[in-house]
This record gives sequence, C-alpha cells and structure tokens, in this order.
Amino acid sequence: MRSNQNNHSCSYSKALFASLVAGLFTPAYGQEIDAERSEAIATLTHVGSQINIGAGFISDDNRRFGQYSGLREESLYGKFDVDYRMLDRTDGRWLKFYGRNLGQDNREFLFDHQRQAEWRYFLGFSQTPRFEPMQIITGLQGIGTTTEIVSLSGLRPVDLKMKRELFSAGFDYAIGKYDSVRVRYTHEQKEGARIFGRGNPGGPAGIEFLAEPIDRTTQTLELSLSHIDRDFQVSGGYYGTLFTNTASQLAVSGGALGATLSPMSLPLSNDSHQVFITAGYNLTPLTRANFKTSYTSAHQNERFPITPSLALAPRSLDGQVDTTIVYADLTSMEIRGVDLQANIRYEDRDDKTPAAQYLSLLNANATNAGHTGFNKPRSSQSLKSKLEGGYQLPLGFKGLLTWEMDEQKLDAPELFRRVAYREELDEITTRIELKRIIAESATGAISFSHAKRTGSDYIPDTYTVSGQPSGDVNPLLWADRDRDTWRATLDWSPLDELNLRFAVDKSDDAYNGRDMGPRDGVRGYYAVDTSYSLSNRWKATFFVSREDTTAKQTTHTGAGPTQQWAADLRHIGDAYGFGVHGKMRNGVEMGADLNYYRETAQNRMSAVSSGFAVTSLPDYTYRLTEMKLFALFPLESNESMRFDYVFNDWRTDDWTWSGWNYSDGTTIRQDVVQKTHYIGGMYIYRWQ
Amino acid sequence: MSTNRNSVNLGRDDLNTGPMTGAKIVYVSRVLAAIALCLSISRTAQAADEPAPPSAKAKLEAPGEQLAEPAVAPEKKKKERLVPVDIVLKGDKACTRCHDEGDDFPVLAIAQTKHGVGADARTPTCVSCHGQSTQHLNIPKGSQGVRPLPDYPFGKKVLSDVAKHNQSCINCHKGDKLTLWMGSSHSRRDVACVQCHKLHTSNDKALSRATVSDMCMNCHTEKRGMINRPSRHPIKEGKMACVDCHAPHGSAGPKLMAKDSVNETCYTCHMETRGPFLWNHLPVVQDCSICHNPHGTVIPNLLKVRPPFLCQQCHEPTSHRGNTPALSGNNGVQAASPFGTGFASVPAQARACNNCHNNIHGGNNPTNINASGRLRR
Repeated sequence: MRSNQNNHSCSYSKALFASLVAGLFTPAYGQEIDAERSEAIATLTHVGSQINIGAGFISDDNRRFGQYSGLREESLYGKFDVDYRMLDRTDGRWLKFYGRNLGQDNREFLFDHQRQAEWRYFLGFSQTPRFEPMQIITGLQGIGTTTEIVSLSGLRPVDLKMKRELFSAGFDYAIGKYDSVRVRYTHEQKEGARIFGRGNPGGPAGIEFLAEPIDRTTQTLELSLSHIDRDFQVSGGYYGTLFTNTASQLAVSGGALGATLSPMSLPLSNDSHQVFITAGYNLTPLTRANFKTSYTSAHQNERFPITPSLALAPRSLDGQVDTTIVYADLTSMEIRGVDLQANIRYEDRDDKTPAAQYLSLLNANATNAGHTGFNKPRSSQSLKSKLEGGYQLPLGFKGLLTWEMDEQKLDAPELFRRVAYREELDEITTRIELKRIIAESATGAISFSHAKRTGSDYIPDTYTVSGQPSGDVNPLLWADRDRDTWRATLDWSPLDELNLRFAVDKSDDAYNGRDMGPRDGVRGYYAVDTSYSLSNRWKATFFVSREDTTAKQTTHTGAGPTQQWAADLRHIGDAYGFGVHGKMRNGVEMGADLNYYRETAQNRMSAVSSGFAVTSLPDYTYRLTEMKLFALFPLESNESMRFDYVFNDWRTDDWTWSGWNYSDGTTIRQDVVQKTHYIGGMYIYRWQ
Repeated sequence: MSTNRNSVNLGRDDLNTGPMTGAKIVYVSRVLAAIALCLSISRTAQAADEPAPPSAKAKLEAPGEQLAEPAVAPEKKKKERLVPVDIVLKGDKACTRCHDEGDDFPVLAIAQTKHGVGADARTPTCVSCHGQSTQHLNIPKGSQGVRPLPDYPFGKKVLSDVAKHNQSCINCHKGDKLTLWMGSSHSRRDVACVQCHKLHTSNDKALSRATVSDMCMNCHTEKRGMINRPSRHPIKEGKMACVDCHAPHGSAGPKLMAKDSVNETCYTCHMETRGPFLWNHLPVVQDCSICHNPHGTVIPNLLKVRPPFLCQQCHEPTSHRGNTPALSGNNGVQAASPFGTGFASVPAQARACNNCHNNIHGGNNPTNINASGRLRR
C-alpha cells in the first residue's frame, strides 16, 4: 500500500512545490510531474542489465578459502560479471547473457535466447576447480599420467588439482498450444589428479602414496515431448548418458612394492539409456493421480585393459544392469476437511551381467579369501508404499497420520561373503503429526514417527581365517532397527517486526538381533532463527543451532571375542550467526554478517571384554569464523560502487594426516590455522 | 497518478511534519511561485515552437497500446491523467491506481519478469493471482475505514490457506517439473509457492543458482552448518545448488531427488562409480548415502563416519577388520605391517582402510584374487 515514509527530503520538497503551484501553472507542472512519474515507472518496469568490473585482493596464501574458487594465493584478482537482459515486448523475445566470475577459475556464463511460450535455446559454460586443500610432499613421478614411479628421493611439494569444464546446451519448442519438445545436452570434461595410494600387508609390505589420474568425459542427452492441457499432463522421452575414461588403468613401479599391485584398475567407460514417461491427471477438481515409469539399461562393456589371470576368462565384463522404476500416487480432497494420499514406488534392479570365472581357484588363498573367482552381479527389488491422511480438527488443528512400508529383496548369489546377508528386508513406519495455525502470525507442528525394520534370517559370513570364528555383526545396511523420531517447529511473529523460528528434531535408533555392529544411535537438532526489522530499511538476523549425533557400535579384534570393544562416536556441530543489512537514507546499502561454525568429532573407544585395553583416538575440532562486510554506494542513478571485506579464519586440530608418513616418504599436511582477508572493490553500471 | 494525488492530499498534515514554520512557508511559497511562473511562461513558449514530445508513458513498453496516451492538448492531458490506465498487465489499473511507482512494495517490477510480458497470451492479470478482491477495492461499510486484504495476499497471511494460494499458481503452471507437485512432500507439508518464489522482482532467488541454496536453507537450517564443513560440495561458491540434486516440485525418487533414485542423481556428476564393476561393493550398488553425506562432513570424501569405524559397521571382525584403530603414523610399523604388530590395530590415519582398499567403489582388475577381489588394485 501507499506509504509516505518513502517520500524523503527530495520528494518532500517536490510535493511542497507542487502544492503551491498546482492550479496556477498546470500545463508546465503537469508535464514535469508526468515526466518524473514516467521515469519512475520506466525504472520499475523496464528490463535492466548490469555489469560489474572490479578487483579483489587476497591477503594470504590459503588452501581452504579458495578451494573451489581459485582465490588461494596472496594476489590481486580481477572480477568481471555481466547480466545483460533485453526484452522485446512486441513479440516476447528475450535475449540474455549472464557471466559470473569471468576471468577467474570458477567462471561461468550462459547465453539464452527465447521467444516466450514459443521457442528457446541456450548455451552455457561453467568451470569448477577443486584444489587439494592438503600440502603434499612426495617423490612420486608421473603424477597425472597413467604411469607412475614411486620414488623415495626427489621429495618436493606437489599441488594436486581437478577441474570440471561443463558445456551445456538446450532447445525448447512449443508445438501448438499444448505440446512441446525439449532437448538438453551436457558435456563435462574432468581433468587433473587426486590423492590415491596402494598398500600391501606383506611380501613386500608398505603403504605408498599415488595420485589418481583423472581424464574423464561425461555426456548426457535428454529428449522429451510433453503434452499439457488443463487436466492431463504427460511427458516422455529419452535420457542417455555416456561416461568415457581415458585413464582406465594405472601402471606403478618403484618403491618398496615395485610392481606388486600393478597395474591398478581405474573406472572403465560406461553408458546408460533410459526411456521414461511422467503423467498426471486431474480425475476431478479435487483428486489427482500421478504416474512415472522409467526403464534404464546401463552397460559397462569396455575391454579390460588388464589381461585376466585365467586364460579363458572373458576379456570384457559385458556388464548390463536394467532398472525399472514405477511410481504412482493419488491425492484426494473430496471429503471436506479430509485429504488423503497414497503412493507406491517399485524398483527392480536386474543385474544381467554374465557371471564368469575370472580367477583360478588354484590360487592358494582363494577359498579362504572368500572367492570363487567369479564376478558377483547384484540384483535387488524394492517396493515402497505409503498412505497418508490429513484431517481438519477443531480449533484450527490439523492432524496427519502416515503409514509407510518398505520391502526389499536382495539377491545373494555368491557362495562366499564377508558380510552377513539377508535376502529380505521390511521396514514399517507410522507417523502422526499435529499442526496448528495458532494465529495468522504463527504456526506450529509436532510429529512423532516410529519405524521398525526387520528381515529374513541372516546368511552368515563365510570368511574364516585360521579357524577364527566368524563374527556376529548386525550390518548397518540391514540390521533390525527401531527408530523413533520427534520433530517440533514453531514459526512465530509476536510483533510485526519480529519473527522467531524454533526447530527441534530428535531421533533414537536401537539395533537388535545380533550382538555386534551398530548398537544404538541418537541424533538431535536444535535451532533458533530470529529476524528483527529495525526499521523499514534495516533488518537484523540471528541464528544459533546445534546438531548432536552419537553412534555406538561394537566389534572384536582378529584375536576373537575375548577382545571385544566398543566405539562411541559423536559429532557436535554448532552454528551461530548474526547479521545486519540495510539501506541508508542517502541510498547507501550496507551489510555485515558474522558467522561461527564449530564441528567437534569424538572417537571414543572402550573395552567390552575384561582384561583387554583400548586407547581412544583423540577428539578433534574444526572452527570457521567468517565475517562479511559490504557497502554499496550509488554514484548516479545507474552507477554504483560496491566494496567488500571478508575475513575467514579456519582452524583445526584434525590428526588425520599429522605425523603420518607413507612408506615412500610422502607426507601430507595442512596449516592448522588459515586466516584470509579479502578486500574487493567493484564498479557497477546498470542500464535499461 | 500518485504524484498528483499526493500533491493534493499532502496538505497540512504533511507540511506540518517538516521543520518549516507557517511564516517560512508563506515566504518560500512566494519565491517558488515566482520561479514557477517563469518556468511556466518559458515552457509554454517552447511548446508553441516545437512539436509536442511523445508522452513519456507512450515510451513505455508493452502492453504499450494500453499505456500510450493520445497526443492531446496539455489541458486535456491533465484531465486524462486522472483516469487510471493499465501500466503492465491487462486490467491492472484497478490495482496500480494505488499500487503505483510510489508503493512500498514494487508491484510494477513484475513487468521485468515473464509474468509481465503481454505478448505471451498466457500471462496473468492481477486478478488471476490475487482474486477479484472486491472488498479490498471497495471498502465495505462497517469496516471502519480499514481496507480488507485482497482475496489472496501472498504475504504471511498465506499460511491460513496454502492450498488455495498454491492453486493460483497451479492453474497455469502444470506439467513438466510440476507434474508430480501434488503429492510431493513440499505440497503435503503446506509449503506455499511464494515461500520460495518472489514474483514481483526480476531477481527471484529461487531462479538463480547463486542464491537458491540460501533460500532453501531458510527452512532447512540444519544444512547451513553442513555446507561449511571441511569436506563439502562447492555450494558456498554457488557452483552447486540444492536444486542440482533435489527436485523441490516433486519427484519419483526418495527425498525429492532430482533423478529417480539417490544413485542415479549422484551418477550425474560421479558417473565413474556407476559400474557395473567386475568386483562390486554392495553398498555402492545399493545407495551412495549409506557411506556419504553429500551435505558436508568433517571426514574426507564426505564420509559419514571415519574409517575404520565406518567399515566396521558392516564387516565381520575376522582377520584385521575388527581391530582397534590407532594413530599409527610410524613409518617403521607400516613398512613392517600396515595392520600393526600382531593384528592389534588398523591405521585410522591417512585414508585408513582405503590406504589399501583403494578401489572402494568397485574394481575392474581380473588378476590376482587377493588384491583385486578385495578392491585393492
């Protein structure tokens, strides 16, 4: 609605002037007012474009702050953004060019041309770097290639990096009023190297550093036809993917292991082809049915780059996995105050890869190793169904009752296994929610759900060594489990200026059935978010949250059940944030945000068996303090200057790599304190 | 015609809000009146010499036909300006006579969006979304001058009847990615379209990759801390967004996955883990989220739990697999045995279990049963 609060000194004087001369000099004044008004309307209604040109300075070398942006060395960085938009209103033709971070490692742009409701095509590019945040000192030769030589000499710092270059293109075309065709294509090239390694327990023994060469191309193509009318919508088409890996094996020599584990296999090229149909139909104005089905055939049939040990073994896996997914739902609000929903989802993963013998059973360790020498295709089926009813209760309450069933069937074709197995798994979840719109300024909900997972009898682990008994682990994947979850939310605006949001989420897991493996787990999440409007132009926000997750699990050492021990794993994530944003009367926009994140990990261990001692791993913490300031100064109506300051303080005492030395002498370390200051200035020009 | 209306309506109340006294006003009025007289004479003379410039309004873009004013004499023009005309959408004059360029809420900015393109016959009118709102337009008797809200105000009040408000959008936005909206968890949990989308601005945060994730985290606040963890996707940098993996308008997959399953969604970028492999690892086949938390963790590679604890959640303890993890950074111990003396411990450092079992997503090496079958080469 109209407000005079926006009419500040300038408009005040104009109004005064107008009130004095109105009626006396109408023609001249009328034109002026008309022009002013037209200009204001044009500013609001014309499609605008903008360019930003500037630079920023990074104060210190860092590895975390610029991990995905490239702003990781003390230097001056240029910045150029463009957002060009042109609209021809006579025929609804849009022309857009969007570029961000042009000139930087994480640059991206999009060219988009369309005639609204008729056709559209676009071309895009996005580059995403990933710089390894760890400092590596190694003597490894041939990094980034498929032939590497482990060397104990020639240690030097090495920077590993990966880069994704994504090209995308698309085309839409409307065929008449109801039908359309869509084409999407992406081509992503991923290059670089990342931390890898190899290890051997004996004869010869050692753990050596390697770098995994990355030279991969991923392509996707989607073609679809759609029909959309008032009550019936359907689209169907093809979605194909093609993954090409030119680095399909890694030959390694040198070091203590020499060629013991060489060559090492890397992912082979693969592809998939999917046809799909998605449809929805309004059976009545208050009842709708949706449906989706897809059939995907995925293949890996690239010839093995490594010759199989068994002479008669196939030279290609000829892998084929056919996946069928059927989804349907029905939602109805035919009964006043009642809404009902039912859905069902069926997935059949049929691994049609031929089982063949690749390795000889004559290998002395074959049986003990739990192998027949055959590959192990994995098929599975799952059926998920859900019923949900909502009922409008008195006093503004609404109740929701949900029942879900998840049934899984897993094929277990292999004779030998290292993990106890279940062929069938069932989980039933019941959930009740009570929701109330307490007032127009507040809403709240509380819910409780109970999920119970059980399954068929276990097919035990077959792997024994030297007569050691098999364990009795309840695998996380399919352990019997009871899960209770409480959730409560409240969104409340006690004042027009103040909004408060509270969230509590608590779940408890209890694992049953077998003696070891996961025993219980608890997750809690607690958050308060606040926003307060200091004035029409200034707003302050504050948040605090804690996520606390614990998991307890047990197992025993290779010595057997006499050395049983337990692990109490806990993760606490705290987050605090405060921000003020606003605009001054002279048009200057300013903002300040201060955020603090603290992540604490505990890996406590204790002995279950008497007479057995266990030493816990040290706790470790990550802390991130981030302060962001900005100010936007208008120079003219279409020009402004923006200044940014960012302070990033990252700290940890994580011991993952501390003191760790590879057998080949490689070390991987990180600065435990990384402080970065960023100061940037940008000229902004807008036009319409 | 707001400025004119303001000029007339400002009157005493508004003048009194300023610092001027009555005497000063009289003095200033005289000075300004004299200046205005000069300007008026000057402009009148200029107008007589030059062809009348097209009305600035006539320069406005479509629906320009509705905006353009006829070239008329100034005195007639003044009279016509008092008659509301459509500015952006057909029939919007009923609304924009108040919600004009001086309005607190920039409703006119809808002209910068697809909803404001008159050449597209599908574009709505104000009434299409906000309802006829007759009581809002004509204050009913007995309301003591308080103007009722429009039928669909789309502000905080929207919470009172989300389904009806959303229907305003669904009436036009059918099919495509919205086909499965009805029945989706967002729909079932009464999420209003306008909680994510802002229509009267050219910068709808929900439509920009750089800003959409911040918007998602207004509700999904637990993800706010996760994306700042040391092992993370490049969401902060805007190179990935929540909507790359999730379809907020509905999906046939769990957790509103963008594709039909968790794995198929992950394969979009990590296709090297799809296989099928010669040596498969079951949880990789089943669900990537068994081991990984894509929103961020404190363990490298987005692992949920630090190995070997992670691996010990499923694997039987035979051999070294149930051994206690230790900080075995001693090079000599590793050179002798990566498992530590007498199978007492396994390394918790570096890549832990993956120090040796490096092809954990699956291997394709058809040689050497011990190493390849155990995903070590």
